[in-house]
Amino acid sequence: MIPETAPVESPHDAEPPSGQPLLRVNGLTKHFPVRGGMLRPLAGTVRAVDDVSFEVRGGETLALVGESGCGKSTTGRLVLGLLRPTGGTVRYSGRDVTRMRGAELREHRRRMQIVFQDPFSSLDPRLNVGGIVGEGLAIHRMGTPSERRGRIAELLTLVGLSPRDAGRFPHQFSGGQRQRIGIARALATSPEFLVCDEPVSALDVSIQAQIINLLRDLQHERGLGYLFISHDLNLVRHIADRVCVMYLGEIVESAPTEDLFRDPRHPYTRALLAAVPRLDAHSRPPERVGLTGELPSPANPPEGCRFRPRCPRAVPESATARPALTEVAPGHTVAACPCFN
Amino acid sequence: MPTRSQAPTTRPEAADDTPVLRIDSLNTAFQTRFGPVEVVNDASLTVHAGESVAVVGESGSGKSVTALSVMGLLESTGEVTHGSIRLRDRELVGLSNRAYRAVRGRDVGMIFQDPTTCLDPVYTIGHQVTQAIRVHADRGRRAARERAVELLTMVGIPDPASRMSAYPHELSGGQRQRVMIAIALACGPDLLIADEPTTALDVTVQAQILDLLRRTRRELGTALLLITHDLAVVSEVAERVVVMYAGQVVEQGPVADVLTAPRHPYTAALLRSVPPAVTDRSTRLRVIEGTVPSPHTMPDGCRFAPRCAHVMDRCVTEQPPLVAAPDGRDRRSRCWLADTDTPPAGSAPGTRATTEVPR
Repeated sequence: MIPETAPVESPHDAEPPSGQPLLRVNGLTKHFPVRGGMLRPLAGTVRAVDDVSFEVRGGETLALVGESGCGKSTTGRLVLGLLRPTGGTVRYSGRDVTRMRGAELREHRRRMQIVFQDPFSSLDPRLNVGGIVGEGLAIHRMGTPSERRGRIAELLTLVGLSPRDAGRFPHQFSGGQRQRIGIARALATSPEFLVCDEPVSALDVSIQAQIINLLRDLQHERGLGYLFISHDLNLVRHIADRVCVMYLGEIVESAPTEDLFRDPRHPYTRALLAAVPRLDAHSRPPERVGLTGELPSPANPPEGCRFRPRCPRAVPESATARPALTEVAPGHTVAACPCFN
Repeated sequence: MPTRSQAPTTRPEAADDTPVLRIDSLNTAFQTRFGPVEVVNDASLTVHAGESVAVVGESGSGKSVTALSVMGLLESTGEVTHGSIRLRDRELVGLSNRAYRAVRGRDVGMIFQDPTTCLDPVYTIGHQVTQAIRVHADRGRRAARERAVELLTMVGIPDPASRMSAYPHELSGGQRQRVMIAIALACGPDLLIADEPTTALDVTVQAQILDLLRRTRRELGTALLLITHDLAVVSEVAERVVVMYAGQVVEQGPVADVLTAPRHPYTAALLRSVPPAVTDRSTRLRVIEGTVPSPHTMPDGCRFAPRCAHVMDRCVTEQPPLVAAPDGRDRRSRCWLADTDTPPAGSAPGTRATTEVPR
């Protein structure tokens, strides 16, 4: 099935929505040391992100999907420059984020912001909404105090709140409203790129739809690039242009959204799609659960194909070499494990 | 897998017609600084022997408080103020704490959303499962231990005999939930209440746990009351569904009927807001505008009226009762529209295109 081609360097041949890649991640790796106490200062390393590469263009949404512990959130933090990578590069508008220091890093953080998962713990309970939304403006010394007040009012209106809400405190808002505050905070410094780390998974279904629509409207109006981190495949299908599936720190498959859902190639992607509960399940025979076991520890990943211990198709050769990313269709790359043949 | 006859307690035969659980016009209220707040209002539902019933709703719908009311696990400020909860022939409302302790675990098992906080971190899982057996069944240490290994095998813990000595932190989230299910099933209860059992789990593990719950019901005949916010989970596991909104039951009926032809506008709107299983980025997701009303400011009429697309004058002033559908099937809805014969339109998920996953 997999043609004998060399691993591709840049898997993104699909037509870009607009312009050059805004974000180019190459060979990104992050290992966390595990301290073992006094006598064993270094007990091992957790390979949270291992040789991950992708690109995001302006106005494009790239989704990183996978189970907890697959490294998707760590990747988001590396891209933001909140963590220093062990290896690899993150280039944003052509400049290497991993080498930025001081003023340059601050400017990077103005241009790239994050929306967090939990709207309860990510907003400072002692600041009022105006303080939360305006904090970034103050840090980056943008505008005079009265200009900032005007900007805060504008931002609150933009996300569907009222300028009057600026004087209220986070606990006075519902989860969905808090997430709107979190989005206003992220947009305050006029970034071009947002990392959305599970932005709706703490919200009720009907509220999720409101926030997703808001994120989409903002993208259309402002040409924002999104790195959308999620475990919810239904949602990803609705919002992403491209999807990267991560497993144990590696990207195992990457494709335009439609291709991925129509023609998933990697056994893990297939298992993940099959596991999503379906609204019409009552009218079809119960499916066999495709995947047994759980994610192994990233401190001690399996040799060769990391999915091998859980893979329904694993062959002995899967254990020998780490499968290389191979292009199987335009813009569709997959970690070509020997079990494919 | 052990059969029912090996279960430690004897219980009435499933053949009799008394429902395992019957909740009748239940009101549950909490005392707050601002006076009593009614969190569950006029909730009724039944679970028959071996049946799987899901209670679905968003946060604040009262679904979890309903489950806690059944288990007698309300906080000290909470109280059942009206209605009855019958387990087989036994009234649970007003039961003393002591009497309740004999019901919990023996007649009703319960599992919660977060298995991490429900297991005691300082005891091995073997100890905790064994204890659950010995509290209710007169078994020797050795017999209880054997039964514990049997239960752990049944719920799919690999190498159960050696995992008996593991502590909760040594297990993954999915494994802990399996242990919780083993504890809940330890005494062969008639009813298992599962409150968001898979919400904290990854999707592949969720599929495994849902499969385990289906298997438990099929092989042990334990009735299941599943509390969830996820309509797809309802579709996967339940036969009947009870939809709750703002503390009230707004619709109930067979899953296939409710999910394909909802009669209450809230159910219809909830179904529409689920992202459809098609890749179509041109359409916006349908939303339910506004938010769930707070218990302090409940609307006088229908509680969904402020957000309802079909709202009529009558809805704002008069609260609709939960009435049986005219078609005679076991369906009820709390909507003035149920009088007319027009179900809310545009909500059939069956018409959605789906993607076959090649394997």
